[in-house]
Amino acid sequence: MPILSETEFLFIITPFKDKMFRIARRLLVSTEEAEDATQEVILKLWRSRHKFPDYKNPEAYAITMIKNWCLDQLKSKHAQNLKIIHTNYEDHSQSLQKSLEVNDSFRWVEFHMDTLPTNQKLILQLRDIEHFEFSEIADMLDMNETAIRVSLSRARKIIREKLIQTHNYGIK
Amino acid sequence: MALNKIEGLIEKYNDGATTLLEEAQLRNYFSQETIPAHLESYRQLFLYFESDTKQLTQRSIPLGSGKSKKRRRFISVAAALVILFTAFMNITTENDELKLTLDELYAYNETLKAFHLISNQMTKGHKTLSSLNMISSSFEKGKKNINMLGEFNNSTNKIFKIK
Repeated sequence: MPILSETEFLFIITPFKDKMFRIARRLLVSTEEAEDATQEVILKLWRSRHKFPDYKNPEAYAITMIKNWCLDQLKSKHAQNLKIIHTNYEDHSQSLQKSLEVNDSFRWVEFHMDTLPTNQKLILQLRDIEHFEFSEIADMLDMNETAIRVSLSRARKIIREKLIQTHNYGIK
Repeated sequence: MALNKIEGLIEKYNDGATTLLEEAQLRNYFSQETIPAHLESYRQLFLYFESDTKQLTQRSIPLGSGKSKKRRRFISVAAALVILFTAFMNITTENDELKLTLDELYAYNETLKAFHLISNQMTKGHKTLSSLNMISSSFEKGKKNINMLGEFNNSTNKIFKIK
């Protein structure tokens, strides 16, 4: 099997590199960190490109990789207090900027999505934003489809309840 | 699409039982402007999902680390060759020196001696030059003293004028 050229590699990567970025952003919150994570994972894939044609689904493989990368990041962040302060600062500036440019109700959805447990957050992202099949999500997260449907249902209901709450709070 | 059908789909959606196609129908339905009030929160949700798909990476990723690795390997090989070559050259030139005949060695030593002599004379000359330097500096001192005498003369002249 010949090693992929740069153009061939980019041809495979390009259709889903934005998905990788969005998943990273969902987990890490900061846009800057999500860009870093995407870059790191793509470079990792590039370095191991001789294995690449063996994977039956490169997209699922790349998304599994970025998910694991981000979870590792989050774990190491828990160990370092300094970094937490740093990202808090970034979140703040980001939400401030957001409030200027994006619809207020969008911000609420994003906020409620942030409060979900990591796994539910990921499943919701993969299904409702990236539109993956349950079988693909099962592969990426190493879970069975029924478990995925259950947590997806839970996540959707939680978000909806919270949205109704904030909506009523605004009126009353 | 009929409202009751939408409500049915939403129920399915909440149970995590909709297919991708049905979810696309829901997104499509909620992208319109007029939505019954009790479904407004779903509109928010689906519009947000739609908007998030527009988040794109801004960074272009510099690949090509593989190429530079190959080049680095080539450079290291070339460097090794250069080192070997120069080492080889050094050894051969050393051999040339050893091939000098006795006469040539003698001539070489004699010229070295001659250069030594010349350099000795040069250092002597240098020493005498430094003594000249000392003389010139003492001249400078004398010159200053004369200047001072001149000034003294000036002031005495002034005194005389006043008188």
